[in-house]
Parts: sequence; C-alpha cells; structure tokens
Amino acid sequence: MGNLWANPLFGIFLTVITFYIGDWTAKRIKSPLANPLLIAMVLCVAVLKLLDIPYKDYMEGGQFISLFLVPATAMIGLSIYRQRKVLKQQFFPIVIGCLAGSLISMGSTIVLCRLLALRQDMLASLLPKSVTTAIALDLSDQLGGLRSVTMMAVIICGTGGAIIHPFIIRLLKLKDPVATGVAFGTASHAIGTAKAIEMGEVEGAVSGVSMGIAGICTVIIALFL
Amino acid sequence: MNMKILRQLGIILAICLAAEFIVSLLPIAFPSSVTAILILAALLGLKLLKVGHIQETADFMLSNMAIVFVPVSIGMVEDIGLLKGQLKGFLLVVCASLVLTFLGTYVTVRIVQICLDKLAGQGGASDG
Repeated sequence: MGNLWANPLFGIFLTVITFYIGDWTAKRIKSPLANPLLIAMVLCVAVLKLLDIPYKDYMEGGQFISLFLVPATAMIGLSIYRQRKVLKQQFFPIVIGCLAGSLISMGSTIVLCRLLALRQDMLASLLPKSVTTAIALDLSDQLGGLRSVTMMAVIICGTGGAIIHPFIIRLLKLKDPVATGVAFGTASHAIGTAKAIEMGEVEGAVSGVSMGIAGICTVIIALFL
Repeated sequence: MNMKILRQLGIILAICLAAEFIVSLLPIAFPSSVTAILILAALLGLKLLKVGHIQETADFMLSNMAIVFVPVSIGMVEDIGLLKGQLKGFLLVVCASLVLTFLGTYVTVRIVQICLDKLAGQGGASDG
C-alpha cells in the first residue's frame, strides 16, 4: 500500500478531488470561510494524517500541481488585457495605492515586531509577507530571514486575506471594485488575486496588476532598510 | 477541439519558458510569474496574439488558479514547528498587518480617486 501513496498520481488525484469538493462547496455555501483553497488544504491534511501518509509521498504528485504556478499566474495577463480601459483610467489610484499599501505592510510589520519583541530574524522573515512567493523568498534571503517562516507568512497573508477581506468588505460595505482589487493584490498577492477573480473581472484584473506593482514597490523599499 | 486545447497550452507554456529565460538574464532577482504576466499582456496589447489563441485554456486556469497553492499550503502546516515560542506573536503581526494593509490600500485608492475626480471637475465620486 505504501507504494501507492508515493505514486505521483495519488498526490495529483488528492489535490484535484479536494479542490473540486472545495469549489463545489464554496459555490453552494456563501461564506468567506467556504474558500476552495482552505477546504482543499484542510481535506488534504486530514486525509494525509488519517492514512498516515508522509508529506514527501504526497509531494511526488503535488509538485506537478505546484509546477503550474507560473502558467496559471501568467494568465492574469489576459485579465489585465481585458480590463485595459479601467487600468488606463485608474492608473494613478492603482500605482499610488500599491506604493502606500507596501509601505503600510512593511511599516506595520516593523512596529508590531518591535512592540511584541519578536526576534530579528522573525522580523526579516515577515517583512516581505504581502508579496508573491517568488519575490518574497528572494527578499527574505536578502534581509536575513528564514525561508520557511516567510513562506508561512506569505501563505497566511494569501489564504487569510482571501477569508478576512470579504468579511471586511461586507462589514464596512466597501463597494469600489478598483480599490478592492488594489487592496487584494497589495495585501494578499496571487492567492488574494485568485479570490478577487472569483469576486469579479475588474477586481481580478486590478488585483493582478497591483500584485506585480506592489512586488516591485516592496523590492525597492527593501533597498532602503 | 482537442487540437485547439493542445495549441493553446503550447502557446501558454512557450510564454512561461520565455519568461524564465528573460529572468535568467536579469542581473537582479525578479519573479518569473510577474514577467510572464507582462509578456502575455504585451503580446495581446501589440496584437501579436489574439485572445482566441489561448481563451479556453486561459479561462480554465484563471477560474481554478487557487489549486496551484494547495501543495505549498499543506507544506506550511507540516512546518509549523519552526515557530515554537513565537507562534502567537507571529500570527498577531501577520494578521494585524494584513488587515491594516488591506484597509490602508483601499482608503488610499479612494482618496486618490476622489482627488482626481475633483481636479477633473466632475464632482461626484466614481462609484462602482
């Protein structure tokens, strides 16, 4: 039986089927907690723990899903093209929003880490938390952070954002799709963008652009730290 | 239909490979995903590529994008031990900063929009 779990097809199957269940559930239960990624994650971890399957075995297949990170995120280019009119009209709000958001993200992290007396390497790991994985890991190295801690912070900002932001939007009755898109992309990178795409085409495209601009802003701000 | 999806997938993978190649030439660390986004948007904008050339496959990937983050999010659950002793502080900083960033960004965009609207003399805010 052990060999079956290490077969790459198992990891792919488990990911596809749990994500399908997550997506199916999310479409029926209109709650921010019913998020396809979160449901898939919980179901996968539950299956791996219950059947005592090592993470390494799961990743034999899981790595093939991860490989599609670049092709899937690249398709944001299509959303951007489809929304080019909005982007032209809203150029300044988007760029200034991304810059302000990146400053708030890094500034609040520094202040909060000092207040809670976290270790210096934790601060370095947390600074790039709002940007997309590839940029965040490079920045973490550059600042002297721990890669896996950065990875966790990035994932929490993404999945946490996909859950928390819709709550905030409902609570405060935030309505502007452009501002929502910029806020999603700047605070919660690609995972937030995936959620923004579910909310609407404008939100998704603006979030995709903002994720890129915020990434570049963060890299530049980090040069001064 | 089968050939069509294959052709679309071929085009998409070619764009990604081109992005990886360009990134490998750059003197600074720049993410290949952002590069691929820029290449695709540029090709469409310059009319070198039509939406129809990638549409079905691209829309499939767009609507199911979050699936690519499932394996890495499971890895995170496995690695949680690294945060021993710092977990509470870690979560507090990440969550508080996340909410501040989201709200701060939203408010900044609205302020800039309203200022620009006033400058343009249109009066009312552009509400969506």
